[in-house]
Amino acid sequence: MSRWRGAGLVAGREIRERVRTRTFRVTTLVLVLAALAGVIIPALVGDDGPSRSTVAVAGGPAPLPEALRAAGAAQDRTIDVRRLGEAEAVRQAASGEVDAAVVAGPTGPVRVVVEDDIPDDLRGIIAQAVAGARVGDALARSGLPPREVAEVVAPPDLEVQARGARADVDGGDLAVGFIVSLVLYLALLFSGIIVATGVAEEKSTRVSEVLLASLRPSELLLGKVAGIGLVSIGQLAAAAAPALIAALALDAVDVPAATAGTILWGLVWFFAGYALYGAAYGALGALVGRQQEVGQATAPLGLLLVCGYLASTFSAGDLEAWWVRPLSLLPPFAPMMMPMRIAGDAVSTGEVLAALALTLVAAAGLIALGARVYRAGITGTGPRTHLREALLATPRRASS
Amino acid sequence: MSVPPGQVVGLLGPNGSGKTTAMRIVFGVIDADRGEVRYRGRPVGPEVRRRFGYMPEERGLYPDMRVRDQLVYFARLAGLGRERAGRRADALLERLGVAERADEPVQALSLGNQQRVQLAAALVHEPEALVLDEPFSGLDPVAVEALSEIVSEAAREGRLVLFSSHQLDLVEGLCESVAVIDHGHLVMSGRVADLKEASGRRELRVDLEAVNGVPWDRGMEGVRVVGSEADGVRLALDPGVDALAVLDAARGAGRVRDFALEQPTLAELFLEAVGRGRGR
Repeated sequence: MSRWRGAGLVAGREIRERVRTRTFRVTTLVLVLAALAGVIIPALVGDDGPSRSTVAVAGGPAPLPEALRAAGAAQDRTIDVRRLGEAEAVRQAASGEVDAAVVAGPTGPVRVVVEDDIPDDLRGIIAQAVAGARVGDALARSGLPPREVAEVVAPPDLEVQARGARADVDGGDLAVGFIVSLVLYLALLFSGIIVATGVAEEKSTRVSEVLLASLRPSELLLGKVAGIGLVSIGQLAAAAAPALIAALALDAVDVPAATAGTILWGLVWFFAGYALYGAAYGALGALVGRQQEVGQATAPLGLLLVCGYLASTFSAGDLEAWWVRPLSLLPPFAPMMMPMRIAGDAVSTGEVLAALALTLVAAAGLIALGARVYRAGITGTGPRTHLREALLATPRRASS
Repeated sequence: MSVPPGQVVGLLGPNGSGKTTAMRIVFGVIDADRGEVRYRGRPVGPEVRRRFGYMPEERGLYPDMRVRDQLVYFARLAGLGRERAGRRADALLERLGVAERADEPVQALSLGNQQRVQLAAALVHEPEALVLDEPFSGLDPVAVEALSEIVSEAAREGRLVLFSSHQLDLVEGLCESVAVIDHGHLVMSGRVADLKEASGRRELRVDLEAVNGVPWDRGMEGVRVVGSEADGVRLALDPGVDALAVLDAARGAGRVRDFALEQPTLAELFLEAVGRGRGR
């Protein structure tokens, strides 16, 4: 029997048995619903739009209310204006019925009455509006036609040009990077634990001894890791597809430019990272005496994963920081960190490929090493086999 | 030790003597410190092992997997095609009387039925050799009888059959040959009948309704009283002593209710071999 047929049969069994379980159906359903909710709920709730303020105006130049509205709109704030007498304006401001009362003359200081405090942007809007209105008023009195006055005093559209080093980092792209590295972290963690639990089960039920009569340890480990990995990918795809369709149907998300590339790379990184972590989880799973110890035995791998994820999250703050490049090249961290760098367009394709190659080489080495630890672990029937013993050349003797 | 085809060979030894270890070495689960496993004169490798069937002690099955799926899976791992694996699984389940449980997970079955499925898993790829580790532990007499029948049949079909046990009374009726190991060393092996013969020991048990309390059992040459139990007096006879003459002496002393001429039991040979004779 060829090496691949053995691994293929093992993988086939993993897929069939996993898909058949209740847990699988429930988690898939939860994932699908969560992804759908992530798309649909923001679409239903919608954008609250610009914030709103009510301002009472007493005195001041005639164009002041219009100038307040225009200045507000320029800063994404809708201003409702009430023209009142001074006493009434101050009363409403003091009681909080309006956000501010503006008491102004044609020139000189402007009194702004508020209940407690005034937002900075509203203060700016009022100052700008009063200044503009006074200029407009003066220009109108000097004979300029109202249309030209309006053109002069209206806040202009600003065209912002960023020229700094991080100017081309788009928030939307980084958000995609966040999501991809979070999903990778969770998917690697959960699939890894499933691998370790499965191996521990085979060990504690002695199925592994029967299997080793027909299969090499590397075939067993490879088949198991591959089968569970394919199920995980399938599950992610099952969750992503309805959400994507819903997003397109609802036109809910502006798809950031980096999305497609980052997601595709994310898939590649799942394969690479999973080959690495799956092998490691399988090997550690073979060391435990009872299935309940799997969590404890594999905790170091969970720690590595969470470190990679956190490093990826922090790197979004400054993708050019000195530590980002070296850490993202290290196989244990690359699967979570590279998608963020790719999303932020802060890495060359050559570097990504180099990190990928490093991770795959490490994964191949770990599968070989894992198979050895696996075999040594499987044959140890005691409470717990230690990694160091398992790595030493001669497998442990078993007691009768 | 050797396991000839067509015979059921028992691998015996006290707990911790190395029975399971020996079997694991056969299947390459662990490496031997010394020695070698040969099959038809050649060292056993992965290809040969695939033609062996192994039933580890207890379990050895996926608890959540359905019975039939499990058998098909093991058969296919051993190289059978999908269809043939399915046919073999069905035939064995039928034969072992668990066909109606084929679609249930193994853990839903009783211990006896689980062990039947385990035996089926060891047999499903029609192995040339069958290695069973404590196949009867924890089973009721009915299940023991059923499994013994299948094990014997496997041997009659020309397979090598090796099984381990520390329940010697079970082994006695089932295996023609035994190998006894202790602390990893072979201390006795051969056909059971030959071993009993070679021990040269015979015991005459006589249950006598004594008429007058004459001590008939004393003073005969080559005859030793080894015990007096509820079912009569036990006399150890040296080689050459005529058992019938001893029985006649008993008949002269009273009415003989029951008697038997017994060879040592396997348990006695076993205890003697591992150096812990009962000392009577």
